[in-house]
Amino acid sequence: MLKVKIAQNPPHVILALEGELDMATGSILEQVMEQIESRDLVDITFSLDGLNFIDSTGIGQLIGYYKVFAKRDIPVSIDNNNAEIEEILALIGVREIMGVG
Amino acid sequence: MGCSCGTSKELSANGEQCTVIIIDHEEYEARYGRQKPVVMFPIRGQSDVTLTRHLVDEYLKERLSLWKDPARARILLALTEAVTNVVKHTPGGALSVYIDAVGPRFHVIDRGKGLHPDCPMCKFFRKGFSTTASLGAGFFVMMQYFREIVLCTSSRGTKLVLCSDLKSG
Repeated sequence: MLKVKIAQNPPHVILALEGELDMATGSILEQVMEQIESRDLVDITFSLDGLNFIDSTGIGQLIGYYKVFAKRDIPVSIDNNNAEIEEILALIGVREIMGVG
Repeated sequence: MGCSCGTSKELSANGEQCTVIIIDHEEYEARYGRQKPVVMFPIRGQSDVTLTRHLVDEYLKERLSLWKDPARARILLALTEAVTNVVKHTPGGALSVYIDAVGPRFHVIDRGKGLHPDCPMCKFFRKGFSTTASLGAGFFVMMQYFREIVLCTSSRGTKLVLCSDLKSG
C-alpha cells in the first residue's frame, strides 16, 4: 500500500510518500498529482523517507513527473534519507537526471 | 557481455558476477522439468506485482533463516522487476519458487510472444534499453542482485530463472 500525504501545500509542494511505490500502487500517487497539477506551483519535492519499497517502475514515475513539470519550468526533486531507497536510486542513476536532496 | 551465445558474465554493483545463460525450451525441460516448486503464484495483473512480493517474503521468512536484509530486500526488488515485466508486456504468467542449497530460486514464466526477436539478447540486460517508454532498468537490476539468470525465450513465451545466493550475500 502507498500513502501520499501533502506535507506542504502549493506553491512549494512537498509530498511525503509512505509504504511501497511500484506498478500496482502508482495510481495512488497519480491521483494526488492530478489534484495539484492545475494549481500555481513553484516547485515539487517528493519526500521518500517513509517509503519501504520502490522499484524501477516507481522511479520511472517520479522521473516522468520531473520531465512533465520541467516543461512548465517547475523543478521537481527528491528528498531522501532512507539508505535502502538510496541504494536503488543510485543504482538506477536518478541523481544523473533529477536532484536528490 | 555476450550476445545470443550460451553464457555470459557481468559484474554487478557489489562486485559480484552475475552469469546469464540463454537456453532453449528443450534445455529448460531437461534442466528443470522434473523439479517441483515449493510454492507457486499466478501473475494476472497489476495487483500481483505487490501481492507476489509480499507472499514470497512471508513464505521465505518462515522457512529460510538466511532470508534477512539486505539480501532479502535486494532479491525482492529484483524479483519485482521480473514480475512487473510479465504484467507490462504479456497476457500473464506465474511465479514458482524453489529452494536451493544457497538460497531461493525463482522461475518467472509468461505466456507472451518472447523477447523481441530482432534485438540482440544482450541489449535486454543493458541499463536503459527498453522496447517501450519505460526506464529499461528491469534486467539491469536483476543482474545486480541475482547470482545467475537463465533465460529461455521464444514465440511460445519466456521463462526466466533467477538464482540467488544468500550465503555469499
